[in-house]
Amino acid sequence: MLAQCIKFLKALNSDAKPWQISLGLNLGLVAGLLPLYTPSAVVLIFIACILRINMASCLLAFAVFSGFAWMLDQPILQLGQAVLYASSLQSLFAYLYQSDFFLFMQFNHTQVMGAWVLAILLLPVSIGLCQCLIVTYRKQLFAWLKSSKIMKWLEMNQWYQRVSYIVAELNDE
Amino acid sequence: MNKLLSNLRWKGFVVFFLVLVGLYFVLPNAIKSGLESLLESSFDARASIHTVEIDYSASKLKLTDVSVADKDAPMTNLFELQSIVIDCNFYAALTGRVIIDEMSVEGLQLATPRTFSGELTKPKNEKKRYLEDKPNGESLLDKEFAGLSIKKIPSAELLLAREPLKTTQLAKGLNLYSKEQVAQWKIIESHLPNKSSLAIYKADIKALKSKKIKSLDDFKAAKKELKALKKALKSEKNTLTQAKVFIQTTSKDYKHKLKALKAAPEEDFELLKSKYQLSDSGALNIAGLLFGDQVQQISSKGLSYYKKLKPVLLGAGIEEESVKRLRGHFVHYGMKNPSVWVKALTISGEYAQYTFDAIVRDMSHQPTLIKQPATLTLSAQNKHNAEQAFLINGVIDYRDKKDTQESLHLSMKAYPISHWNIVNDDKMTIIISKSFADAEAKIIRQKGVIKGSGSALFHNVSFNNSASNRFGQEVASAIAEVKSFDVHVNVKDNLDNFIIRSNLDDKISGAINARLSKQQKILEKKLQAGIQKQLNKALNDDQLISLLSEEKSVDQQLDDIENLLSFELDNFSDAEINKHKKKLKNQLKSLF
Repeated sequence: MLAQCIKFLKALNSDAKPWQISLGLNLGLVAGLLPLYTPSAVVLIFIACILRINMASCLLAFAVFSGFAWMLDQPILQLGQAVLYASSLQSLFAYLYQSDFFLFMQFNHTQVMGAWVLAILLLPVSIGLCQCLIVTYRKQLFAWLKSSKIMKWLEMNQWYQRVSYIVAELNDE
Repeated sequence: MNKLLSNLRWKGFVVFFLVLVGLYFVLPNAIKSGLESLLESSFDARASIHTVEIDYSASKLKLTDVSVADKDAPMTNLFELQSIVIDCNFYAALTGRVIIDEMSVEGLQLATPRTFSGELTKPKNEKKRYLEDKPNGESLLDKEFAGLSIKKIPSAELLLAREPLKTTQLAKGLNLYSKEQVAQWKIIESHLPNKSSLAIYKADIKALKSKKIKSLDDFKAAKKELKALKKALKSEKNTLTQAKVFIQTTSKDYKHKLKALKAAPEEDFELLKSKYQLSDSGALNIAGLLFGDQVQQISSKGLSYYKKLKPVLLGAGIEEESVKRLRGHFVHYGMKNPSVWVKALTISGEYAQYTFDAIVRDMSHQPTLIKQPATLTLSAQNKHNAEQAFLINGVIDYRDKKDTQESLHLSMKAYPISHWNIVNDDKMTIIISKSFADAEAKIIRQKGVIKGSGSALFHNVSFNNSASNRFGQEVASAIAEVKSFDVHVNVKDNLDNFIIRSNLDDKISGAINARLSKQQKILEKKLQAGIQKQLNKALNDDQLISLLSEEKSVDQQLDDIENLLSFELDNFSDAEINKHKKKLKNQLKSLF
């Protein structure tokens, strides 16, 4: 987890494109909310593997949102149940149910559906927020931080030097 | 296009491909362990699969050397089979459905011995509960048919020794009461006046009466003496009155206890009779067992396998709207295809002296979707002559949840029976050494209600009987004359509630009934004699009876004392006083 945080910080400070970091974070968000041993999660992991996104941000978001999913287990379940049993959506689901893709992705499972609905609700906000924060950080905060007294003090600090050494070691790997 | 390709990470493809290759090698072992644990949880006993092979091109799965232990008999396999070849639809599997076009099971063997125990290691509490379910290692099937077992008639001595009789209890109580009262009486008796002391009192009074009173001082001395005597007599009277009250109370209690004791034997006898009654239904059970032994063995075996396999094969036969999985559950909408469907299952194997072939069609826990009932056809051939021994056709129809139906049709032709032990008693053995049976049976369970009937004709019967007593010899010789007999079975409501009729029953039921009633009478006589013996023992209590007879002598003594107190002393004093008064008057007159 610490290594992922360091890698994420490194990515933030590197020349990695903001969309790569943002997409990594958002894929990690969706995969983290989904139950791990489901085809949906496997498909997302496959996408994360083959797309040139920032893996560190994806894994960090996956770890963080797996924790969220664990805490929000019951509300997610209730959300999925409410959607799958909604009378207005019955005909739609009955139609989708005949498709193999729907069955393969297990969209008819309350937990999976709940996670997907929550992810879809969070994604627009999350994508916009991530993009905005990364750009803002790089443009304003990073330069300001670099020249701040705290940063200078930190650079002189023994602990910071050790962390920097670890980061350097990881980068070499 | 180039831009799109530049955004792909080719290393990721390689990693994913390597994962898939790894899965290719790991999957058979994963399926093996998954299936083993599934079988173990389904049958609650150890299961093993030797190998799992996957043929991806032909979409076939092959399992070899599958064995599942019998949880009721851990050193025996419930079933063992050489191979299962599953022709499954992999595409359907990707969409979460199990569609098996054909499944063939070869080399099925039932009840084969195991080299090690098939019992699963369970948590302590669970194991304890499991043991509680099976007292003395009794199998579930034994329990089911426990009601039909012949109960050995217990001897009168055993019953008298085993049963807590009221007679014995009351007799013991009376005996204790008697001992207590006798001990108490001995204390009272030691304070009672005896004949010699009464004679002394009489002599004293007589002496006082004959005493000549010449002066007033003499009179005063006599009066004082009389007063002391009276006091002593009153004390004796009190003691005697107390003794009388004690005897009367004891007598009253004794009569009450004796009445209860005398009534107890009858109550005990009625209780024992009702408890160990050899009723008509009991005799019917015995007769039923006499003829249904072979049928019972086969049907019980079949029933036990059916009960064990049914939940596994058909998911209890009821389609479930939702199946609990992960933390949530699946929601099913109007589905075209079922999630599990075994279109055809062929099984071939051996059991006892038979080879059999079975075909099960359309197994699914969603019969409403496949729109046809599950069917079973089982035919067995004799290994030696390749003739068909029996044919079973079964239908399990759960398409309409409100009108579920299960039916089984059995047909047997010239089914050979040898060494059928009908009666195996210390005193009599009846064995059908050779016979052939033609049988037809049909059983239907509709909406949970069982109805069924069956008939069997046993022909070319030859008996091999032996008996040690005369009665047994008579019955055995009567049965030996029978060359053929038939058995009719009717089942109603549940499988335990069946009636078996036979014409052989007519021939020997009379003899059996006579035997039973004779034994019943002997038992009753022995019981009565035993209880009477205990009663007599309780009644022969000499000490208490002699105590009660003391009342008369106490009364006699009381009368004597009353006489002494009221009559003799009163007469003496009045006469003497009058005499002295007269004398004093005369003396007074002479003075003037």
